[in-house]
Amino acid sequence: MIYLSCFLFGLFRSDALDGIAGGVGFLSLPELIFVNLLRWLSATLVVAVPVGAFLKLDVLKNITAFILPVVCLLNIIFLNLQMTARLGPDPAFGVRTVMVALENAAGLGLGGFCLFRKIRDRDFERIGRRIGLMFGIFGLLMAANFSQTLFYNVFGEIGAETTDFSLVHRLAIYVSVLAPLLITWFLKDKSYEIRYGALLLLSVSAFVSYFYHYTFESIIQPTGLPFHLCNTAMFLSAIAVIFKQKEVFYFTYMVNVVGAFCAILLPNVTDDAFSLYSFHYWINHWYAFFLPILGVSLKIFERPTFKLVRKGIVAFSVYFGLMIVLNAWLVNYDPGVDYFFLNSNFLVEKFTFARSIKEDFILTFTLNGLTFNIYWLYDICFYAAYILLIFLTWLVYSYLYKVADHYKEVLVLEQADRLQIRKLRAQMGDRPLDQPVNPEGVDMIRINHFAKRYGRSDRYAVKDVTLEVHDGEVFGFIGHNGAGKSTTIKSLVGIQSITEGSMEICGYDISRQPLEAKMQIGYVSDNHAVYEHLTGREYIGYVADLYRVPAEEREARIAKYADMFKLTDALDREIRGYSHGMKQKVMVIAALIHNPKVWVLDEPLTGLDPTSAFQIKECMREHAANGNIVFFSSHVIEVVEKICDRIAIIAKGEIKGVYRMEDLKKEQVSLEELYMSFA
Amino acid sequence: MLERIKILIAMQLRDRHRRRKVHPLVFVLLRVLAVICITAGVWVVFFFFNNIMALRVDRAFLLFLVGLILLISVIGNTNELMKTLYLGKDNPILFALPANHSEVFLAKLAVFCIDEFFKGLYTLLPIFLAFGLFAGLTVGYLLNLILLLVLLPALAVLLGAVLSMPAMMIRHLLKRLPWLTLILGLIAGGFAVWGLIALMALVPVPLRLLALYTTFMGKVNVFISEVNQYLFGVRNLVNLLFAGRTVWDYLIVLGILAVLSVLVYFLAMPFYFRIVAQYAESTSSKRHRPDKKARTVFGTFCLKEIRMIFRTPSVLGSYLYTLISFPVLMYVVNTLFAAINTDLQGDLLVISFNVLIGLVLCAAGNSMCANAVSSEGMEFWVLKTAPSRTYQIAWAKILVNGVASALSVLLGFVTLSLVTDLSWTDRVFLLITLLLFDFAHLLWSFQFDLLDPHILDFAVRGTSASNPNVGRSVGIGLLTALILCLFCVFFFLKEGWMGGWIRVLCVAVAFCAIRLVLFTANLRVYFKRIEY
Repeated sequence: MIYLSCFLFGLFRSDALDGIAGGVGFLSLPELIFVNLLRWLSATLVVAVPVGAFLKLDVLKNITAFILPVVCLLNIIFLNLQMTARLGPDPAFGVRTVMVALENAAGLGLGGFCLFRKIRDRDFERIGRRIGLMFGIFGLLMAANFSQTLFYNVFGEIGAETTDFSLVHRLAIYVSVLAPLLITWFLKDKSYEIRYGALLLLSVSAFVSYFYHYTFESIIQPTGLPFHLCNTAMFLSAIAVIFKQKEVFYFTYMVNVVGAFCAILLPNVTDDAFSLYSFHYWINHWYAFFLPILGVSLKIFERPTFKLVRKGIVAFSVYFGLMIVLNAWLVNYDPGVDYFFLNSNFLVEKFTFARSIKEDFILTFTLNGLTFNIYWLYDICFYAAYILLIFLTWLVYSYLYKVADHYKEVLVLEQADRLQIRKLRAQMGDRPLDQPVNPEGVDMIRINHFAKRYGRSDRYAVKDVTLEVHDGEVFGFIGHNGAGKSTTIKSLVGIQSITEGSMEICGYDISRQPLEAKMQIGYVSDNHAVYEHLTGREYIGYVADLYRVPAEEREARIAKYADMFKLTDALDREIRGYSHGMKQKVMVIAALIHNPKVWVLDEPLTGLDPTSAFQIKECMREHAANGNIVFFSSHVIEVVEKICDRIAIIAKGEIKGVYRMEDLKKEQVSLEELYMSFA
Repeated sequence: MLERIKILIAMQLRDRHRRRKVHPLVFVLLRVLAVICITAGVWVVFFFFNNIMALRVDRAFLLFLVGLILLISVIGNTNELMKTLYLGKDNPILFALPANHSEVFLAKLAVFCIDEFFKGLYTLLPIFLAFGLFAGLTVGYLLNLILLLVLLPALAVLLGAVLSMPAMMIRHLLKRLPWLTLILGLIAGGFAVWGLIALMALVPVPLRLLALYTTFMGKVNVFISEVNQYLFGVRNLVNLLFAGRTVWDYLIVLGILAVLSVLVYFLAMPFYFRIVAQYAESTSSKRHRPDKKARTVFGTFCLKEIRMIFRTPSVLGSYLYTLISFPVLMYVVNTLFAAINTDLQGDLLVISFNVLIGLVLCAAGNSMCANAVSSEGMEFWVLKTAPSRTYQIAWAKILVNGVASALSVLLGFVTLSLVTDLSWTDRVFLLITLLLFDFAHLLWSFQFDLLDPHILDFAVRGTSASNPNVGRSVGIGLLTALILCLFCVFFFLKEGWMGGWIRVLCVAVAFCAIRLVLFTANLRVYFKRIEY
């Protein structure tokens, strides 16, 4: 407390050092640099040490133990130099000298005590790394508490202003964007304590930095009161972070950020870029801009909902009303009063069309001898414009959050894909990845505890389906409408993902070896959707290219199947002129063009005339007889009875039974009655 | 009959407008905010016209504007109604329902009308409100404005419905006689080019804008008055907004509406089914050429895309439109620019405006890409089941669209070179900037549809009209064009010619590179995860 109080006493005093430009003054250049460095170190320690007392962060405790005593000792040794910098040449002994001495003595005592505790507790585990980290963090903290007079003292004026998008202005803009990005990037994966500690340190730094260039005399003037919007951010941010006050935080987030952003783009500072005032302006507005943003990006505060935005607007409305009153009242005592630009012509000069709005609509009255001028229309327009800006800011925030969430999801999904491949590699061992993951399954379809949920629904469309289908079989998959037949088939052929379980086609896992698995499959869809502007031949050729079927083979197969299905004459007509049956036949030819091991058909006979249905059934029998697998779904019992070797009945997403047709016939069990028993 | 029509309307509306994820209050608030912002923008434009450009924003101006809006709406509605009424993929579903063809026709028309009404809330309402604020709002103005918001879209839709029938017949005829299409196209193109060159030849050189301006604006005002003389019906419609409206105005407007309704009922409706059936029944044969060898996957995708473009007239038309409009507009605008004596700063502003115009046109053309995944429709299953890296179809579609887009930019570059005074370096840099931004926008448009495909919607309706990704693509394209134009103006004025170009090209390269990286990441992750 002594340490802090003495520092604060000194903070509100002007220093003679501030007037020295370019190393020309009552101190030599090396002395100037040295005393600036000491002041800089002291200001940084005043932020780190009190915060470190409240947070369980080892690095802050190390700063208190190792850096604080050294700096305080140096301040005491060079006390005369310090007082010369503060009071000018030949400084007289007085209250300030006592306060500085007391401050550093307290600091030395505090630091010494902390160091003593460390030695006593032998707290030297990984001391080298910890010291390194301590210096690193302290260096960053020094950047956060940058000395606002150093450049001016050492270099004088640079001859450039930070306005009108000059080079220095643009550099200042880049800092305001890069700083929060870098801080978020480095801290995003750290623990909550570290993130909160960082935000707290920055908030306190903002507070200390803000009052750096104030004196007691200036702050008690109306123009010096910290009521300007961006000035309020300096203490409101600290209050919000220290006391975790949501309402205060979202006021800064929705209102201060907008104001600071406008101030960064349209600065009202005409002093030299290296001057104290200019540095102070930029540091103030950088903090006002990115502290609230960091509060959300570091997940100390949640993203604002519309409800919280409303609260921020209510708080802003109160602030705005208060500023109108304060401006009108205090301008009687100090004509320079201009909180939130409501009095001056700063904005009117930028937006000249607003001049008449301001000058022609004034409400004037007197009260207790004081004159109150309220620019009511200008105030209303300003308020409305600011509310609009708040909403636009919220929209921009929402959009940026969506983008950030989206690309986070992209990274997560990419990592999941890479993990899949690594797992596959581990499972395959020395075997190449294009070999079946399960060599014993090369002549079968194996479905293992397959389950499927759509989107975020809790309901399973298909649950715990386990099946094996071997080569040479025609396997029927029957069930009522909505039982889960198409869902199972679509997951098998790769149209939909698998929620749980696995599916292997000829030993290839459809999830992990999709290309190899799909190469084994020929699929006939249930919706006979084909490209209607292509001819039948072009469509089949398109599919043949996707399956890399050589030209001679495909021409031979097209001829064979076109002849079988009596489609030869129609093949060179656009598909949109085909009947339903012809479209289905084209799909069958396309599915068989690469002579797949597994032929999957989803309700292939729906809507077909008897001739077409017969032809497709014959094709299915022939394909199975050649040692391949035919897997099809249907709800037409008679067809299934005639051509299937085995069937599975599915109802409400679950397999009710798997039966051999031969066995059912032997036991004289009617498939229809069996099916109806599960309905 | 009314009950069935109501059910058909409700069914179609329910299908188009899904349940919103946001709170209704937020939804309404955002929409109201959008209307306020657009109204403010339009008011600024009117202010600019009236106070700076000396173009009188008065009743005559409003009449001309409404006439123009009606003309554009009728053309647009005719085109869209052709697709929706006669070529809609949901026709087989609706015809199979227990409803008459005329009931289906009326229901579809009503749904289209409702959609146009809601669109009018973002276009017509801000225009009329802004005009009202400009000229003086009255209670009568506001009350009749509500009426106008219903009547104007209804008029445009009914006219479109009447015109869509002969338009479909002409379309059908031209499809049967492709040589006639070619001849008519060449003749129309020839006339258009001749007319354009003749019009541009009238531009005085040097074009002293300030000196000629007053004369020119006076002639524009006279032109508006002369056109207004022919806007019978529209005049009565606009009269409704102002004091001095009479009962005759109401009667005339309602009379026109009644006449159009009768025409629709007795002409368009009876022939509706016949026209739909005619389209569905026609097909064509192609000559078979045996494949010598199998193509690569990428090659086969490209071939398929090209075939689909040439066999889908609406798609081909869109590409041709982009291919023609870009160079034509560049020619017109730069002829005007070339006629003006400009100093270096003026030249730099000319470059900035060329960037704006070029990118706006590219944005319009690239909107095809914003429908790329959805346009696969139910046929998307082929891509899901094929044992190939089928995400390559994305690159095939981008290549095809990109070639068309780049070709239009190149043609624009050629026409620009014919008329401009800009240096060769400026032209080449402009070309590079436009190509880079065009490509980046193409990728971005595709990405919209990749992340939010409307496969089932397209499968049912067969048009891209309802795909919100198209709107997003155009919106982002316009925003990008505006931002880049402002960047150009800023950089050129601040940094000079070479400094400005270096920055503009850096921004273009950076933007293109970022979009490429982001698109590739999204494609790698999300294409295989598309499900429907």
